[in-house]
Amino acid sequence: MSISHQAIERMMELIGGDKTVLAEILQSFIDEAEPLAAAVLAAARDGRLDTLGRAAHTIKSSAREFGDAELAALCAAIEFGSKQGALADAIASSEKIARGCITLKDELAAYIGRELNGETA
Amino acid sequence: MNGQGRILVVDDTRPLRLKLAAATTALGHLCHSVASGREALDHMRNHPVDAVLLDIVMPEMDGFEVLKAMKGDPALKEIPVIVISSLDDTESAVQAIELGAEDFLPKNFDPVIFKARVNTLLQKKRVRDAEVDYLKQVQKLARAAQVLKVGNYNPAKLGLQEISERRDALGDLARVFSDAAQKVYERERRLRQSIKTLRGGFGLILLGIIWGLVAPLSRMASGLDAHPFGMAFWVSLLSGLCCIGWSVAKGTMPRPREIPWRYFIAYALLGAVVSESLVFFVAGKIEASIISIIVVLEGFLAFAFAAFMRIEQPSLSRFAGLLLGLLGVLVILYDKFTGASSSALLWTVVALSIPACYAAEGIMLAARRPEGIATITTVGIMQLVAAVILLPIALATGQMIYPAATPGAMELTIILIAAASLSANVLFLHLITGLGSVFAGQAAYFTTMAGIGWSVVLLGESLNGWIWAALGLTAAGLFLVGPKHEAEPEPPAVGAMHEAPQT
Repeated sequence: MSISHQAIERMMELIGGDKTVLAEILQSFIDEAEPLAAAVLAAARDGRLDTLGRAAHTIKSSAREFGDAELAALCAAIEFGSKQGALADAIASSEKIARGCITLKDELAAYIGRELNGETA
Repeated sequence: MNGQGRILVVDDTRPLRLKLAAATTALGHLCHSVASGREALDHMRNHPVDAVLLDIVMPEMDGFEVLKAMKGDPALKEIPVIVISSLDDTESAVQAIELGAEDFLPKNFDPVIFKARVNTLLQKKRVRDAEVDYLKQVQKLARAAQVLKVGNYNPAKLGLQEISERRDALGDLARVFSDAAQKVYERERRLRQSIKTLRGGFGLILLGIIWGLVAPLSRMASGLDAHPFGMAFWVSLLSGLCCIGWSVAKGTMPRPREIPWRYFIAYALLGAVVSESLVFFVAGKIEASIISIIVVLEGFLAFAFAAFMRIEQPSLSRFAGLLLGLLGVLVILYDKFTGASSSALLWTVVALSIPACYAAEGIMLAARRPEGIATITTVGIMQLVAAVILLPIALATGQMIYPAATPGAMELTIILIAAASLSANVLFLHLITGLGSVFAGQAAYFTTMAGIGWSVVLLGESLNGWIWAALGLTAAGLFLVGPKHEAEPEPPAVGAMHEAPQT
């Protein structure tokens, strides 16, 4: 699972090339990533399919925005399953999503440091 | 709306909300973003919005519910919506379109597509707004036609100002409507003013004829040795009782606590106690025709008071008219100086107070009149207050008149004076209310003419050349002063009309 620089550049084009605004958008996901991952895990553990589906939908949207197709596909599958009311491997899938979410967060943080703030590794 | 649109972004996910807001701002539009459907509806109901970018999956109230609420609200249903969602099923897109969304975009849309869709949507909104505006103005024009149809030509009531400013066929039509209405309204207004002046003129003549009777009748009463204060008391009492009786019968009598007693005491002093007593005193000393000529000063004094109190603007011709009138009175005084006793001269000077009382009374009534009290009731209360003031004076001075068991000439004279006083006061107040104190003050001229006529007819008085000269001078003064033009406000020009609320 990994972000797509092409997707982020498209976002930059969309918002008029403002790096500060882009950084704010990415940071807003970084801020929400851990609570979202926790929400997915909790919903799967408690069997709350509605909540699980909605949290997966939210992560899916962000994953697509940042070009993480694998994480988006995983979320779409959980979202679909929760709508159908049948999730055989809900806990395992949610753990994968949670991990993917945290990875996405870390990659975005690195992107901000490297591409937007000009930090070197 | 110019090229810049007001766009509302509705998305519960903060990164996406920020992205959409930044994208619309980058396109040059104004953006407001909210995180829920409920907030979106609240914002739209309180702020103008040209387009909405709406997410579907949101907690509590999803995008479909927002669309339903918007279509059910006449104020919101014309706002175009682009649904932007990461829902993967086609069904959701179809449902959103069926619920009234203009378009459907995935969240990771192409920037070029987004720009094209948003700008097209705003363009459609602008066209739609112009259409709605045009239809509203056509409806306004149709309503204006209905207003004209029922005969209301007041341009201010047509509400066509905004439409008249259009530079197209609709604007031309509105201007034609407004101009035609303005012309008809102006003609009607002049006609109403003419009728008002004509009615006022008849009222003045009638008032003069009635009031002109008072001096000769008073002179006749003095011939019967009637005491002035006793006469004034009975005249006030009888006319007051008649008016109050009428008011009670009509149910227009106010409660005692609703009556401004101080006002009525001042009114009674000027309109009855002082003026009537003076007329009765003076009538015994000088000829009735002289009193009538002196009364003409009321008109001049009314002008002077009105100018002093800035009720009416003085002019050179009016000032010259005033001087001529005063000259007429001086001619009378000269005549009295040369041909009469010093006592008659003194009483002629005293008689000058009578028109001063009448003029002050007129100004007072015009400046402030008790609200909600009918004209006859007002006169009745004033006369009864005057009777109450006059009673102790008449008793204390030994001038009380005790009616005889069998009514004779004096009783008849009192009744006639009371009837004349009552009618004249009611008419005077009516004229003041409708036409102003200065216009009503013109009654003095007719009073003078009628008074001279009555004096000649009833008392056989004759007028020498000086008196005729005085009369001529006052008539010339009257011509120069002229009546005040009491008119309703001019209708506003078409360009200055205010929009009237439409019913």
